[in-house]
Amino acid sequence: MSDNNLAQKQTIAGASSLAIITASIIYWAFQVHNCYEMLLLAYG
Amino acid sequence: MELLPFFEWLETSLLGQAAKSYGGLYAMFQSAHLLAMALLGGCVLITDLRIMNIAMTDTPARAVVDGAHKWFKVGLIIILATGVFMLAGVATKCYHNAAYWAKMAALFSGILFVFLVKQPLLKYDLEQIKPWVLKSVGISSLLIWFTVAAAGRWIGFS
Repeated sequence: MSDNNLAQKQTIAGASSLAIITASIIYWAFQVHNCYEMLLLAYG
Repeated sequence: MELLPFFEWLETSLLGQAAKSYGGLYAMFQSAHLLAMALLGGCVLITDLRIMNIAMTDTPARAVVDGAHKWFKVGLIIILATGVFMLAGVATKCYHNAAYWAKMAALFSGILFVFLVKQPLLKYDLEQIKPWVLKSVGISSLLIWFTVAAAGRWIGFS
């Protein structure tokens, strides 16, 4: 398997991983924020 | 595309009726689903921690990656098969459940990531792959499957 193929696959893997990490952080931050707001409403 | 008719059909199908009517059968499928999740989760954890050089560093990474991937596929097939049966019993409830769609989105992303990105990359000599790429692949894989598991549990509480 050539170095060019490896370089291309590393670029794809790096880019998609960073996209997944960013999306996960945003999603879970949003969920934790929602939970925090609900607890504030319930208990002040 | 409207998916609700499909979910309604699934719930009224033979599969849906069996899942609704026979609690023991549903429990058996759910147990198999949970065991397959443990198998899949174990394979994901051990592969990702190994490629990030955190766990099993005394075992060759190639042996861990290849060995775990075989069992990952077994776990995934069982999860999908038992998941369809479990969905059939509560299909319309799941259709209106945001956590269910979050789980499906994460599961679909996880499957695509494993078979189109992670495994094609890990076929190469791991020594040749840049460490930051291996670390980011490991972290993102853990995050995806964490989201699948967490959203799956969330379905039962929402």
